[in-house]
Amino acid sequence: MTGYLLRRLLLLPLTLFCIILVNFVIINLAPGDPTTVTEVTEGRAEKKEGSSQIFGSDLRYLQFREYFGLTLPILFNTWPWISQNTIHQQLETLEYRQKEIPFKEYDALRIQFGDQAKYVMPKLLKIMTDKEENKKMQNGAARFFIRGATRQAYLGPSLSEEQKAANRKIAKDNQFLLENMPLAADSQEVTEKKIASLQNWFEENNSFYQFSPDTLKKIEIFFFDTRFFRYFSRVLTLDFGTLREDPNKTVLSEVAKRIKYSLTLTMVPMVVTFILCIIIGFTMALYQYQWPDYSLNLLCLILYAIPIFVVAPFLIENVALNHTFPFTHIPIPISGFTSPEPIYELMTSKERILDIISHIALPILAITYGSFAAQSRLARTAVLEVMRHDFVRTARAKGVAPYPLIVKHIGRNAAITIVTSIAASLGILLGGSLIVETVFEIDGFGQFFYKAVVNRDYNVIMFSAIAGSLLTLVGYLIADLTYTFLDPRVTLE
Amino acid sequence: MNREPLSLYLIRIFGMIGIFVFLLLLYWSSNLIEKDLNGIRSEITQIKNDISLLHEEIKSVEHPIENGDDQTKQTLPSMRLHTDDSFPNLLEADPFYETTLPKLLGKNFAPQGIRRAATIGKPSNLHPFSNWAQVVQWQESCTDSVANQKFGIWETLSPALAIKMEARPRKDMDIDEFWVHLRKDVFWQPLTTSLFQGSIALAPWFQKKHLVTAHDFKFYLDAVMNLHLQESGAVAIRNYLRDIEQVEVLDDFTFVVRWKPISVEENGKITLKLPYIAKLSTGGLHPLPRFVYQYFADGSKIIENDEAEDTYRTNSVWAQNFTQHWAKNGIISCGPWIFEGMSDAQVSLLRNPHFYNPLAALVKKQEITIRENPDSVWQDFKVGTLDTFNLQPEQFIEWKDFQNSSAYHRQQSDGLAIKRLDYLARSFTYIGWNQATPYFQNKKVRQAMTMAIDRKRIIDDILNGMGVEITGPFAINSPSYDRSIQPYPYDPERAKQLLEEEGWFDTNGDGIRDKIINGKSVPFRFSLTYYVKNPTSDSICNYVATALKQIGVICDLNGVDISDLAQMFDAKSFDAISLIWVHGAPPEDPRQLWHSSGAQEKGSSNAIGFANEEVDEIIETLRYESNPQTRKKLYYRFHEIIHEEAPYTFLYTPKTALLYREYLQNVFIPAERQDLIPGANVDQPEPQIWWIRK
Repeated sequence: MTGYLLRRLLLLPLTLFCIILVNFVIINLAPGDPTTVTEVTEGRAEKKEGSSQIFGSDLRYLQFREYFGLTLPILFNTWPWISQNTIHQQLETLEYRQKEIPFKEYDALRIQFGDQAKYVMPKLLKIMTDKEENKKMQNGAARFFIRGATRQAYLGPSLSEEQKAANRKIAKDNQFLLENMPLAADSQEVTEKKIASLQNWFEENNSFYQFSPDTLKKIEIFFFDTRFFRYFSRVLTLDFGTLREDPNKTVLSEVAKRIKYSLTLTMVPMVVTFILCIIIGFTMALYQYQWPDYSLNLLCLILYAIPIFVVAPFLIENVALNHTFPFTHIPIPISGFTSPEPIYELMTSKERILDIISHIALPILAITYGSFAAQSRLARTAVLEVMRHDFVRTARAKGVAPYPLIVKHIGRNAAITIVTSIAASLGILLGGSLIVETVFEIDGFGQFFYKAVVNRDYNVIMFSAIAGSLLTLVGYLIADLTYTFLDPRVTLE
Repeated sequence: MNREPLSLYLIRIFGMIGIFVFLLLLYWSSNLIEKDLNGIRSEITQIKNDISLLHEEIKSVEHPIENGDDQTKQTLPSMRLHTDDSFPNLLEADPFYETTLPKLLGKNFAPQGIRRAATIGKPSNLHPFSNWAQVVQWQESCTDSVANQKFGIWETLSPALAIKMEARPRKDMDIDEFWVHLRKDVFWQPLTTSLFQGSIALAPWFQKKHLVTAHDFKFYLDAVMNLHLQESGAVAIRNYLRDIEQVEVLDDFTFVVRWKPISVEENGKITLKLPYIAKLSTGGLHPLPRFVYQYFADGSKIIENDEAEDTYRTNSVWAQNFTQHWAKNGIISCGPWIFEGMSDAQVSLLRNPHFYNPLAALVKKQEITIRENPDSVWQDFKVGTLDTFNLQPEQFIEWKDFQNSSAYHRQQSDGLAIKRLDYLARSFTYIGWNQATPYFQNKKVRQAMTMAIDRKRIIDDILNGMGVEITGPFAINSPSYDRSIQPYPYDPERAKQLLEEEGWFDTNGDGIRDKIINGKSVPFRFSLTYYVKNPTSDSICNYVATALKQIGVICDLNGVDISDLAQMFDAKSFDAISLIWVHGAPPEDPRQLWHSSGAQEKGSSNAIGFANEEVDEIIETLRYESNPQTRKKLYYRFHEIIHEEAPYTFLYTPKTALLYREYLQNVFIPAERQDLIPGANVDQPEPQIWWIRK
């Protein structure tokens, strides 16, 4: 048993690593990255004169991509090994064959070439200073040379003296590089001068920025200058990063903020479903082939068949809007988890509980009815099956009163099936109930993760994948262990 | 079973009841205490507010005593250092705020009530250079500019943060420079930790008021012109302000703006001219709070050594820190509204009681609820928790149903009746024909396309009549729009004729026209790209495909999602595209859409590749021409050429139905109230003058 447990616990991190690896690669290979979300108004696709001039700007997202480490290759960094020939060819394609390749391919090549520039600086310098090259190629090489030489600063206050010094140097260098960017309109003389000063700069800073790595350094880059390594080394310290749009908010704090919504919307319906389905299931089973069975069965079938996206708006439109709770004068709220904050702040704890209950009544109804219908029919079958067993007949013959018979003998045995089935739906905790959350405007996990996927918020997506798989793995482990306690026939040696 | 004695049984029963009652009492008393505590808490907050209000008032009483001279200088620009009476003030007082509005409001008016609006989707941040439309709007409410547009009249300037603006001749060349003289009584509001939901510890430096000075304006321009700053709003503004050569700060309240001149050749002589937009753009300059964006949250400077003149114009480290700035989730206010905070569900703005123009904000507070979908906004409006709602054409039936419902009748008798105001949106919907394709190179073909599409029918059937036909790229109520130009008639027969004149015949009898191009027979079959998630453009494009089929042209529908749409637009990789342009404010600059320099360039707004020499010339002249009559002529000629060339099929300008509750006052369109505002030409309701009647 201990050996088994140890084996499983050792396998757990390995499995988790593989899951992270696969997820990370898939997410990064998926089309688009956090920067491709455009700023065209959603819903109407209108562009505003003036603001749309920024479309297609090369530098537009560079800072952002650097900030999120998106300028690195995903798993292995082979860029320092790219040959002079390949560089030359790629640059030629970019400068001369724009029209021949599809825009998407051109764009991808341009971005990749810019990202790898940092690792091929001497090769770019060679093209740039080659007197036999024409001006367009030289300019192109210089542009990418500058792209590769531009560094991002250390952000935030409380930097060490070295970091501050580095920042000063970076600011100076970046401005120098920007000023020496050869332009198409420049004369031959100016271009040559600019390239010469860039060359000087390269020689001065070659060792400082390590532009020409040796083999050992190259191997180090191969493994460690990658997106995955950057991300994974952060995850190991339990740093899951910040939101794409706000560096002041960490993923963990945002998840913690939403957990109460999602827990309520998962746990309460689960308990309600369990109680209701047992009552209904028993009723149907005990009155099998009589009118309560038929009518409840029909009701469950109908409820089961109505999709949630019909029910939720129906509830708002016809139940909540301009109506009050039965027998009271409390208007039925149509959205949110609580009243607006200023009002909610002033409530006593009793009022708060009532407030929350009045807000989640409809969402819970919307979540519950479907699973309740399905589980009731399952409960009926489970109860019927147990009732056919010999021990029930024996108990009845023994003269056990109907009530203890139903609760003790049948109920406990039937509950196993029902609990298993309901517990299986525990997995939706992380997924949340997207539709209900959207319609009732509750800011739970469903919305949070859905929006993260739409916005390509890698940190949040990765967190949901990691948390989801960890929960599942631990869940399976616990389930396996529980079997041994429940069923003595199972051993784990 | 042993029977227990009755007495014991009774004692147990009573004991249990006793414990239960005790617990109830305990709960009851704790509930009472909690209520008391809550009451005390709210009273303390009230007292706190009162104290801070008193504090403010004491300060404002102290102020004139301390700086008595300043106050007189304030009102009399002539007595200020650097001002010169021989130069007239370019800013004219706005009669609307001085006489008309006070009359409209009545004698005993006091701002009251809360305006409640909703926005869809939470903005990712409130960075001063965000380009999220709502954020820009809030920024504008909370800050102020050198000058304001006179109420309801485009291209005018009235005093705002500046009391005087002068055009003085430059010493080094033969054009004018602008001298701006600022007010001395405008402050940046102090930051509070609640702005950031307590996630940031603020240095005391930020918790004080700071004067708005000329340095803040220079800082704004430096930030915009810093090429390392890639925040989208800054990049867009950079295009407009890149012609500013220099901003020189003379003292804390005076600065000079110098624009790059345009050399124009007239009658063989080269003269220098100011760009036409120079005056208006100078008036539109904003301040950017130095006391926040040059610092880290702990009060230390981002760039320790920032003495150099061009530090913020060139430093990439600052630009990077500014993009990720700690305060980017708050708006630093100095305007008629004070930003109170943004939570996940709500944004709130408070009226600034110390603002120099007491009529700039006419309600006490604005609450903007953040919603995730348009439907819940509509529900909120129906319940009565929102003041206004913009009705979409597809919601007309729901709106009619609601009007007949008993719930609405009840609201009506409670004084919550809903009024409706229709106005024209500042946008237009069009189909652009890519002139790089073999089909649309000729203007006759493009005209034929326009004639084959019944635009009236689109407006009546798809938009429920909520739109008007247009003929050109300017806003229909703009002075630049030539109303004498008639739209192309709907005439499929004439369209067929035009196509035949251009050599498109149905030679093989398959119902599709074709033409020999480069020795190959090409059928007239193109794809129309549009945004598939917009139900209106979906219906329109389906109709267009049917309509074109009748003249023997096959239009394949290509509905795409937003990122593909943007990419195809930028790459010019479409045959025809259906889109919406939103107009900027006058003066119109057609360069972005129509200048030939963008015709071949990827990513330019001239996606259809339009190029016309005369149009280029007009655009160049419009850059500097300042005579209003000549400008109007140029705009009219431009409009005429665009109509003739038909690069777009202009479909319509949508009408918006604004629904608002009856307690909202002053809801009108300035252009329609010439009795109040002579010369008004703004054709949309202006929310800043709305107030709430109790």
